[in-house]
Amino acid sequence: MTFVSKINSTKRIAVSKFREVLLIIFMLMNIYIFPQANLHVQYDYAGKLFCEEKYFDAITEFKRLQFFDSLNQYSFLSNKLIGMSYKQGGKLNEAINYFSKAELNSPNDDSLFTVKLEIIKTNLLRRTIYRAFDLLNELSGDARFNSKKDQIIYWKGWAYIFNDEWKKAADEFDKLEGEPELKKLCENVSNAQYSPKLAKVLSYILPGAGQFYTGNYVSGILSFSWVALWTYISIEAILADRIFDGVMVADFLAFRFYNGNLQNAEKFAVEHNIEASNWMLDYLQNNYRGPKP
Amino acid sequence: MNKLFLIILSIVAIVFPQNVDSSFNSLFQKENVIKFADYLFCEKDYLRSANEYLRIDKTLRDEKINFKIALSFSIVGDYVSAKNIFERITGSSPYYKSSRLELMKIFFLEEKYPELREFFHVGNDKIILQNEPTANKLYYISYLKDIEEIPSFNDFVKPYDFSEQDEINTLYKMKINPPNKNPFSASLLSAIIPGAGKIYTGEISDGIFAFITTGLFSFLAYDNFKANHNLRGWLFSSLAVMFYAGNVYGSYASAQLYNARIKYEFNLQLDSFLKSKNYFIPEYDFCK
Amino acid sequence: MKIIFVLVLFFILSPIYAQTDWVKWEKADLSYRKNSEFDKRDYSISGKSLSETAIKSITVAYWFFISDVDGDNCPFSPSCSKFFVQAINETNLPQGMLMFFDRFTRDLNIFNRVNKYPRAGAVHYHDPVYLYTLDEDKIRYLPPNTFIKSE
Repeated sequence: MTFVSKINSTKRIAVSKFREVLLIIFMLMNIYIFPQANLHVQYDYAGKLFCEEKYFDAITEFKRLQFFDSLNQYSFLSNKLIGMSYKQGGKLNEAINYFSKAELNSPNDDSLFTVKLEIIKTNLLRRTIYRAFDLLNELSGDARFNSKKDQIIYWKGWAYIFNDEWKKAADEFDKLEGEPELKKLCENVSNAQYSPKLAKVLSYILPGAGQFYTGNYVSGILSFSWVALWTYISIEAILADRIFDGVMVADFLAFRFYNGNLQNAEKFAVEHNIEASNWMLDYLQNNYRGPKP
Repeated sequence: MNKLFLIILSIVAIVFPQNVDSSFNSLFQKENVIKFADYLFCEKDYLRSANEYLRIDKTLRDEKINFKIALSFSIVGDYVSAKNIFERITGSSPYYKSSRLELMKIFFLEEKYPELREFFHVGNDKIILQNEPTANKLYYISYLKDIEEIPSFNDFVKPYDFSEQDEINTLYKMKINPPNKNPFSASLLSAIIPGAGKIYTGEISDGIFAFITTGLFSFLAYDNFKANHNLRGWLFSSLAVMFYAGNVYGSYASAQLYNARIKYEFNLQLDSFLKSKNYFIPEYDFCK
Repeated sequence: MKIIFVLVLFFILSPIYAQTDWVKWEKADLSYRKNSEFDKRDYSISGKSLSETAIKSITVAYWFFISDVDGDNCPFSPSCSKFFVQAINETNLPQGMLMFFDRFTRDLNIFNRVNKYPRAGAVHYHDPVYLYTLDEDKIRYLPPNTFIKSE
């Protein structure tokens, strides 16, 4: 063999070896890309189930996605959507559990903020309002979310709504430019509500007065009559020197009706307030088009 | 030649991933389904685990998977499905014995104690069961749950381990001789001394109040009759009689309630013992 | 006793996360509404028999003029007047009266209710009629310190 042909054959061997390496690289890429491409299909499938409101099955498919997602690419999204599914199913403790897991895996501040809001909203639904307030305060103190102050105020308003503090809710919505409707609605409820303390004080001074304040006229008249009657009888008895009788009547009857009068005044005010709140809560849940818990 | 081969390969390499559409998802292939179902099982997500295993075609499932499916259904309370699958596990399977024990446990959970005993005594699997300590334990302890005649203590206590004997001893004694109160005695005591019956059944403060009210109204009746206030006298004496009679009645009811409480606490103790022993069935090592 | 108390609480109150998915669930209808804590009375007078109607009318009159006005004085749920009506309906008048006087005595006893009766709501104790009819089969014992949700 000539020198030239020896070099040519070495070149050929080198080139074919190079091709082999390329082939191996291609195969490796297939193994690498192939399962991950599958995951994208799985993610779409689970998302479709979620949109079809088949939440239990959606959770199953998201869990499957998580199990095979060895690189944790879908960690944030799967945990967040599992949380949303549990929330839609009313399993609020589990929802918060998974939202917290999503928190740990959030890719950026915006996503983190969304998930933290979801936790707050779930707390509202779960009626653990104080937790929601704590979380909202944490958010407003967190410099990363300075651009989202409006959203924080908006949800603080909702927290006040769920806590039955409609006046404070109205004040929060007032701080925002775009929520005149909510402000008005909250003010309406606040104005329609009675003060249980005032009702009790009125009845304390004059039995039946608190009931008149809350609009329960019949009950007010009955309360007043009974207290007046038994007080009169017991005083008459004491003045006629039948002290024992007088004290008995006063204790078992006059005080009993007086206490009942106080209890009722407060109860009517509270009942009325709950009705007003519930009416508005129903309206908000069914008719209000903005973001809701 | 080499170049052509390489071109074809590179085309395939680029095109191949795009072959994945929603009708072909490798995550739903048999091996992956099993892996995922195993994971769910060990996470105690039993219903999901069972549903995953059920995706696999019947003919491709091995006995271990069938057993896990039935076990999952049993744990979540779907006894009908569990029984269905356990019963179909064949005698040649290594899980056959465990499946019979799990079936006994289901009888127990469904409160079908006579059926459980029949299954043990005369069922098709009686030879296997009667040689199994777990089955014997479940058989005897089922007598504590209903009102059939209970075997003698020596027979009863035989199948249990040394560590279980104390508890079995206590439970057996509580069953044959519960510390009940007799309702007739309670009402009799209250008839003699108002409130005594209630004190007998452990309601000491109720008994004292009954005594006080009956005594008070009797005294008021006597006092008013003496002062010739006859109307008031009759009023107070009828109240005294009502409180007295109400207390005699209430003492009877109170003894019944006491006995109901004893029974409740017995069942609670028995149930928590069974749960702590996992119904005497040894732990499985599916999730080690 | 304490062991039993703890065990009962454990079995009734322990939340195990995986367990929520042991039964397949659907989308829930979560309402924003708040529940009213107050007992609503049934003022209807229609009864199965004439005597039932008569007794119910008297009771409703009592509720309207007296009981609604003198406040919530009975620590038990059902309240003493409701207990009386139910007792008579389930048994008969004399037996109902005996049950009522026994209940009234227990009402007077302000001591140690916490450890005797299960709880029904924040301030009431659960004390139903079926415990006192002398029919053992009707008794469904519930331990104290547990919370009973009314249907």
